[in-house]
Amino acid sequence: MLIVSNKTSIARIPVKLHRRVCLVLTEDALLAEEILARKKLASDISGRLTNEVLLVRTGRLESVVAELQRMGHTPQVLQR
Amino acid sequence: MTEPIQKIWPELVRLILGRYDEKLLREVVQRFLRPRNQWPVEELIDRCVEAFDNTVLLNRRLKELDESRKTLLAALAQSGQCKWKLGQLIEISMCLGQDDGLPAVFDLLNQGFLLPDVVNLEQKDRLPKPCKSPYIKSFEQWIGFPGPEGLAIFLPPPISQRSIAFALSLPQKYEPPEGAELLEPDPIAPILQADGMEFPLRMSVLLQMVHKDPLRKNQQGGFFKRDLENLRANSMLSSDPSDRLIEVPDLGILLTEIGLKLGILIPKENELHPGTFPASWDEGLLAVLTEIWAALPAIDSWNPCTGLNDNPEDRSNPYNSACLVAVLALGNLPPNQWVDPELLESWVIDHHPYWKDRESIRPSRLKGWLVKFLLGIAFQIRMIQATKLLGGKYLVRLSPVGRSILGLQKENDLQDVIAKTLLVQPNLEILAFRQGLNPALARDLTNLATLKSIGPACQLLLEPESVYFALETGLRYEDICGLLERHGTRPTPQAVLDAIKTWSNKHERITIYASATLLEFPTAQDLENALSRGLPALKISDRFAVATSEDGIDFSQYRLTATRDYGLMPEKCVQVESDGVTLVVDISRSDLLLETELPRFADFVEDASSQQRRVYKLSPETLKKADQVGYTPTALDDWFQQRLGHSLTPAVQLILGAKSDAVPPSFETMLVVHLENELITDGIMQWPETAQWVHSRLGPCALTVTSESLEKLRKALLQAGHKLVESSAVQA
Repeated sequence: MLIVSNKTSIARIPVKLHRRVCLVLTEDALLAEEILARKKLASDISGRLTNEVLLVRTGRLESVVAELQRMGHTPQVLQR
Repeated sequence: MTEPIQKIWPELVRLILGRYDEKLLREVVQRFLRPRNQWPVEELIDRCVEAFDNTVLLNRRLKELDESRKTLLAALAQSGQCKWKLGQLIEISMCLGQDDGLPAVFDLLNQGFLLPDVVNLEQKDRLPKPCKSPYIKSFEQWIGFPGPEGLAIFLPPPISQRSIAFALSLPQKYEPPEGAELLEPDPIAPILQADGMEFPLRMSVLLQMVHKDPLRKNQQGGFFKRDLENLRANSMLSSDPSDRLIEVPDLGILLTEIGLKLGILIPKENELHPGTFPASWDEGLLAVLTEIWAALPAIDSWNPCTGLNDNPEDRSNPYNSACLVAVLALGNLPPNQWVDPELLESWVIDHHPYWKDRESIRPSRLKGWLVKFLLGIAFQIRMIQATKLLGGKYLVRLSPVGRSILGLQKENDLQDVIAKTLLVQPNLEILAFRQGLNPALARDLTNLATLKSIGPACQLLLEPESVYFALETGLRYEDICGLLERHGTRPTPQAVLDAIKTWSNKHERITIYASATLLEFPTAQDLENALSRGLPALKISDRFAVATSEDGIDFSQYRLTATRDYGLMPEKCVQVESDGVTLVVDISRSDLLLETELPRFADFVEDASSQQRRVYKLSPETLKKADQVGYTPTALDDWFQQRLGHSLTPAVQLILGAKSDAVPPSFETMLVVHLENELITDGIMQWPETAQWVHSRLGPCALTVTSESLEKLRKALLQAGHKLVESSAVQA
């Protein structure tokens, strides 16, 4: 039996890796807006990757978690 | 979590033997292995490690040992501890009948049954590298210069397992002094035995306490005064157990030290932080109690006589070896024989070298310490049974669980069953009845609810924080409900389930990845392909996916165009094309922040982009949008300096607009005069007769004049011999 393979499907996919990234993933864009509107948090956020994803400045994880908890949120922290 | 010593001992033995000088190694191996051939050192070490697993060979070598050596090995084996201080071994050896304990230890070192701990077993999660220049030439030399690890001895687990059954040279009966009466148990008095859960529960209290506020230590290694007071004042940690037989000094400190040995607390710099429950918590109560028993001889800063020993200059603790010998002595008696602990204490004092010179020892250190240890500590870890006499005194004997812990019998009556022991109340309180508790359930409850009291019925409270903590340990809403249903005496109230559900949902609204790997694909199609091939990552945008770990990623499916550490400083990775508005990003050097910054003031040009470069274009519209989101011309100029290494291009400055005080652009009608060459133009600009009629110089060979000045310039040029004609005339 002749097997015809799709060349594009088996080709290696180009990808760029960003390691040790600290980010906040929110349920919706509104929540991300709320976080950015908080002065103390905004200074610890280095950028907004997407509507729901915020990048945290290196070394500012603990203060972000503490401030979110002060706001009444209960963030789920992975890989601490 | 660190690997248990039972798993990593071959590596430890290899590391230690690798530090032996070749001559010493060959001498030790000759006695232990008796090789017939001359093997290279590496092979000799490998064969030696293999021999530790050779039951027949080990039994043969142990059988050849002198009785005094066998009894010392048996005592160490029954303790469950594999690391000892040399001083403790000497003390134990002397208690077991040796006049001088050192020769026995030397002998066992020379025969390879004991090894000097030169790799620091307590830090077994970061073992040293193999030694390139062996430095232990003899054990005498090692005792003289032990190095930073101190004089510690390692008993490999296989030796321990094979030695446990050797007889101990300890008495079979303890006679009262002359004139005193031998105490006999009251036949109708009940036999007292703890359930063994007191220490595991208090460990849970300790973990919750440290989770809120880490314990701090000072430079000398002692606790901060306030933390020490908290440890002593905590009613659940340091108060007397409900079935207490005697008061124990500084119980909270002892539990902290045990917690440290078990990894429930982790030292970080000068603080103690919460760790994790050891794997033994899943193996049942006997495994947990065995681990606690094994941790006791290694505790220096607490003793049953005075409690906390906070004198940094005197860390010697003779009570460890003395208490061990006392429990071993109980194990050496017939199973049902009761003993007066005071008689046993007298016997230990008579044989332990610390109490040899009694004149120099404070009277408070002479009596009462063993009773506190046996009735306070050993009783609570279920090793001891006690019976009360009419006068209020107690007699003790080793319990069946104690025999199992010492390895004197294999069977035990501790069976973990899934007991319905929880009563979950609508006000979020949980009552956990003690008789159905086991370490695994205690651990799960500790992770889920805040302990409010421990006693015959432990009281816990479900709080948002405690539920969030449980969720962070990996439990899901369904797991929590399952746990409460499995162990609840009644169905879990709906109000409780609703509260947990609300907290769980809230918990899932924000997820923080502390140190994630972000995968950036050139196109959305590439990301879809990767996900269809089973990439273990969460898609967070059309080109980005986030993975908690790289472990599950099959990198053979991907071609890495670049890797970038998020912690590194931003680099100059953008170039501008000649039009001044097209920005080209070098993918191999760009970072994640760039991806968040560029879309704010430039449009992505997909057609001009490739896998190596991404192209963005600035336009009046994008720059206007940038101004609205805070990218002022100054901020944009800073960005250009950081990412391109220069200021805004003229084109961008043109789009951004002129300053308010600048002269507005204007226009007027002019005539352009073209000259043959630059020299003539320079001449016109220099000679006052012609220069006065020139309006401005446009370039090397072009000038502008007003229509009114044209005739005057023509005349001036004619004087110099140059005729000014109209362009159409030149072309004709």
